[in-house]
Amino acid sequence: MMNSEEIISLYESVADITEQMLAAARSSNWERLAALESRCASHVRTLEKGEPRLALTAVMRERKLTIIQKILADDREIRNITEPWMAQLSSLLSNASTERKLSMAYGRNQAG
Amino acid sequence: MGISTPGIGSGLDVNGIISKLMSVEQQPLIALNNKVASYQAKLSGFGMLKSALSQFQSAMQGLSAIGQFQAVSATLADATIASASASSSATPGTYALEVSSLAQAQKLVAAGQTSASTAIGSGATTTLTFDFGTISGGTFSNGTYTGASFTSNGSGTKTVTINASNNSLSGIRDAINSANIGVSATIVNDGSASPYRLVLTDNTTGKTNSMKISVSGDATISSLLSQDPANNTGQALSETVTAQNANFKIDGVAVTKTTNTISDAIQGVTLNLTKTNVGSPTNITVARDTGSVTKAVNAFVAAYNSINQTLSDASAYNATTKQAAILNGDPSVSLIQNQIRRVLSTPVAGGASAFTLLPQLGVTFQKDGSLAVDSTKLQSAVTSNFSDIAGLFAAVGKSSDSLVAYSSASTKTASGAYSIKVTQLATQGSATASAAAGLTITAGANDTLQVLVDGVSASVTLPPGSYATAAALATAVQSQINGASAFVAAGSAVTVTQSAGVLKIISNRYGSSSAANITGGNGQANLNFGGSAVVTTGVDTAGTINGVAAAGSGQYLTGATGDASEGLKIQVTGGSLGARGTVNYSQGYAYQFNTLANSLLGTGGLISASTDGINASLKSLAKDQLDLNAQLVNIEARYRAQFTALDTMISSMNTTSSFLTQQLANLPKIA
Repeated sequence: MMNSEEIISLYESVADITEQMLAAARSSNWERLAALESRCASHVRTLEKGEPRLALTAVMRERKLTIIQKILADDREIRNITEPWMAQLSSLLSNASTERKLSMAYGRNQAG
Repeated sequence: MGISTPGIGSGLDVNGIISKLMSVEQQPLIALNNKVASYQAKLSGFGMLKSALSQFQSAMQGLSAIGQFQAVSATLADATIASASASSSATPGTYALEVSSLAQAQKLVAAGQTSASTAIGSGATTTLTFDFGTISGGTFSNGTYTGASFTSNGSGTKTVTINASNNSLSGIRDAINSANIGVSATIVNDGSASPYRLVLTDNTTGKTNSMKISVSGDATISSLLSQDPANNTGQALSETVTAQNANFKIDGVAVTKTTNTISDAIQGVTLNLTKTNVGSPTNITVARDTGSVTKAVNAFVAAYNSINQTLSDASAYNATTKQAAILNGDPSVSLIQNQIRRVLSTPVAGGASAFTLLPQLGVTFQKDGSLAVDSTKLQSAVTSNFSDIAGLFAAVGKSSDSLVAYSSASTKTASGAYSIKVTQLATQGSATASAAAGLTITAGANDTLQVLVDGVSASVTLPPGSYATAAALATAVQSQINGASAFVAAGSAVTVTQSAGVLKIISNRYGSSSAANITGGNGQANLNFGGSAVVTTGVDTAGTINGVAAAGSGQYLTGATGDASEGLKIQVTGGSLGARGTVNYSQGYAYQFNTLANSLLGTGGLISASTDGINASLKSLAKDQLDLNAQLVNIEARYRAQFTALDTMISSMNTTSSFLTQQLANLPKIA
């Protein structure tokens, strides 16, 4: 059984990873984003299994609340970046840059 | 967590998105495939062009020879008397033919035998020697001559060997037939007590081809087959058909020939006599075959129009339908078109024909680029200048000197007028004996001669006997030499003459390889060849063509390599030394088209260059297709991996956020 300090520390780790995830999402580093998320998820699984139902001190509670709110805020921000990108892929079809890529490819083969 | 189905986490249709993305990425590949298809169509267009050009080439090749432009026909009013054919050298006209006798070959029949397969005689090696010649004088009755004489025709004696393996009647028959000596043997059954009779038929007609058969060896075979028309008691065989010449009159002039096929009675006409017509001569009409010329000119026009149409069709563009033909815009097609048109717009050079351009024959270009024949104009050209028409189509050579003849030209010979100068005439090799020959030839004593002809040496044996004249001996010597298989194989032959009893042996060949001499044998001294005989080797013709020393070989001069006259071969049969006029050589349009088509179709020609280019493009496109395919596979894999990862991630994030939201809810409210 983890004690309160350990639990808060785990939450802080999750918050830390979530912050890095947000940075990765902002820089469109999708591979890093997915890797960070899987680390984050494994911490959350640890918390799901191991967090004892014990009463926290008011200070501890305050810390936990702040951390979770920050994590959820980052989570929303990450979704705000990732989901539109995924949707955006579908609109690549009519994207002008795709057209340009096409004509470049066609032009290169034309010469051959 | 492991969400493996794409799209569950994000709610997006990942497969649909990827396949749409891929179809965009595949656009270059489709463009590439279209390009390949267009090249392949072009390739098939060239394949079609190639086969059309091949057809054009073979049509023009057929029209490159002068034969069909100078065809002459010979027809008989009564076709049962003879058949006739004519070559281009025949002179048109009408000739009266009256045949009084047909040439026939001698036929001899041997005494009857009871069996065709029983051995005759002892089986000892026996030689049958056949000589051919003329039987004259004496009387003829019941198949036998009395008091006649036999004169060899000098064509050479032939031998057949009989031994224990083939000494039956059928064996003798087969031996004679397989020896190919110009005599056919058959066995007839006359139904008598001794029914099997050997029949010998000379394959050659004419009085000069009667047989004389000498037999040495087995006495029984000798008594069956010995046949000496000059010996009253030496004729074992019975003559059932007497050798006879063809006797006929051409325009009242009597002609005698040994065969029924006569090619030298009327110049350029070959007659084949089939029936006598004494008292009622029939007409031979020799006429220019204008039909053949007209047909050839029309064939030329048809071949041209066909290739012209093919080329136009291949490069056409239909403005109405906006449809372009497969090879539309390909420069090769217009190049070929131009080359073909240029041929016809250039006059035929060389001066071997009075005609130099097609319109002179009534063949003109139409507005659509095709050729058309004005048959009236063509007919008038055929009538007025028949012999020059060939020069407009075929390769033709013409000499101004009657003893200088155009023989052939090579593909390297340029058309032109070439001056001929002869500095040396070709001669034949010969040997003249130092004194008159002895006329008595004794077997084993002076009957063998070692003879050298044109570099080939062989031994011959003279028939023994006392020769009546030196001429008879000369004939016998010539006959033996020309019958020797070594000389026959080498294509060599000699003529033996005598003057005051002195023999002279002359090779029939001309030039530096021509030689004839008796170099040894026990009969050399008797004929007075050897030490003091005068031996002369032949020399080649020498001279210049187009002012450049030509290569001489025998009677032929050939234009020097590198000169315009290269490969031009002329024959000088006599005449004086010095300038000998001009040989004109022209290459007519059909010949030029044949050459052009050959070069277009040949290795490195326009067709193969074009198809090579297309094949190279196709090869490079195939590589591009492979590269692009590989690239597409990578792109798809990358997209798929990215989608799956993000999809999985969002699903996992959902779990996390719902856990955290729940934790948040569990926290007691802060006052």
